Amino acid sequence: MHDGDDDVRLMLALGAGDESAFDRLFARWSGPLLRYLERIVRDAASAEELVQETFLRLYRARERYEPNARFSTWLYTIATRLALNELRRPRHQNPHRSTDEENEDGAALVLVGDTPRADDVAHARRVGDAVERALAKLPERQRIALWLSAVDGLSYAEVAASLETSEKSVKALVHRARCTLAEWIGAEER
Amino acid sequence: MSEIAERCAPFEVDLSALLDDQLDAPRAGEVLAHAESCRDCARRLAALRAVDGELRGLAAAPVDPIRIEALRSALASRLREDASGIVRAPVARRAPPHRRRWLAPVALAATAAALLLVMRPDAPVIAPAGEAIVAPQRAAKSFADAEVAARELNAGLDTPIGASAPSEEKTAAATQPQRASGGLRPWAAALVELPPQTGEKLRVKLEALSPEELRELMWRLVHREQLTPQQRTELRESLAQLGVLSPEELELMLR
Repeated sequence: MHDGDDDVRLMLALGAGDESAFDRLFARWSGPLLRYLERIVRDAASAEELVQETFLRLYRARERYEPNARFSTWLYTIATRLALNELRRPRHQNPHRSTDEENEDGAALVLVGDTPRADDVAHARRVGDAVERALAKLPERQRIALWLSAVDGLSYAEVAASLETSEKSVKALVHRARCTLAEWIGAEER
Repeated sequence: MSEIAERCAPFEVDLSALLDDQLDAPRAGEVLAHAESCRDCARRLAALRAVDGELRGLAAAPVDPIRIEALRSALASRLREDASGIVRAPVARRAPPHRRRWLAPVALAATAAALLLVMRPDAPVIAPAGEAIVAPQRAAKSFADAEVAARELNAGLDTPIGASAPSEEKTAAATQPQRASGGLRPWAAALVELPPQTGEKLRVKLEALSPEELRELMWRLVHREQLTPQQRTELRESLAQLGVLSPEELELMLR
């Protein structure tokens, strides 16, 4: 029972009928979730859809929610599974949008449709930095494992639950991802 | 990363685990002791730590509050659908973004709707969620009508998440003309100065944009006074690429 977790308390309040708790959870988690999902699905519109879908599922689960894990672990598990499903869709499988392949110039612009939005272009320029591009080139499970552990602070056990794999696998995924990023970043800086 | 020496191999994977605080205390001590005595591993550890710093930098970049508000509105709309028992196709089976012109609710679609209303006075106002909220009682011949439409849509979009929004409330909001946000008024005024044929062509072009593209364009137009010179140039190029406006009309839109 993780009832010391503020978010767990909010979730339990929502289950008991306090709708304002949902607003507070949304305010707290929508930004981090959007940032996470954008890095995983590499498409701004899909990431927004997935944030909606994650919160929709959270809301639907309010009455049967049981605090068996940290709230963040539970939330990221929902989001991660949705993202993995999304990545299996045909529109993420074509050669130009593959999750594990890079574009011709190695850049991974986040595009919506065929026309880059002005903001995306500006963003891509700004994060023309090595890390964003390198992250986008990582295999999806490495990307997920690294982001969840290094950025969102989930334990390997928690990441393993989200990815439905073992802690040992997560440890290897995270390390490979970090080493690859370190190499690519180093190469770009040289 | 450089090739791992045999004596370093037992510590290699644990360098990451150390950074993630995933080792028990005795093992963490061993790994740290090795890193302190091995130049290669110390360098490797520093490189891995630098990756984390970069990643956290990415994560710390603020998300555009307009996007969050748009998400909040979209979610509220989907929750209302849920509450009313409307069955909606799952994400996977929904049309791709460029076909979902008005289905993905975005807060600034209110501005877009106002634009369309100005240019096509007899059209019903289409809510971002795809439902007709209310047909205008009179033709929108001025930007004042567009402002009412914008307020009307905002009334629907601003409902707190999880709350229901009876249609009577929306209708009541529509009867209370209020000022729309800052940049809309002069821009809507510019639109009504366009020749009708140009306006119609522009409407067709704008309708072909995805909601995200439209939102982006609208945001920049409404906030054009705060744009950097570079952003202003991009906005001018985006409008020019629509291939509808003459140079003079373009200036009119950007003034």
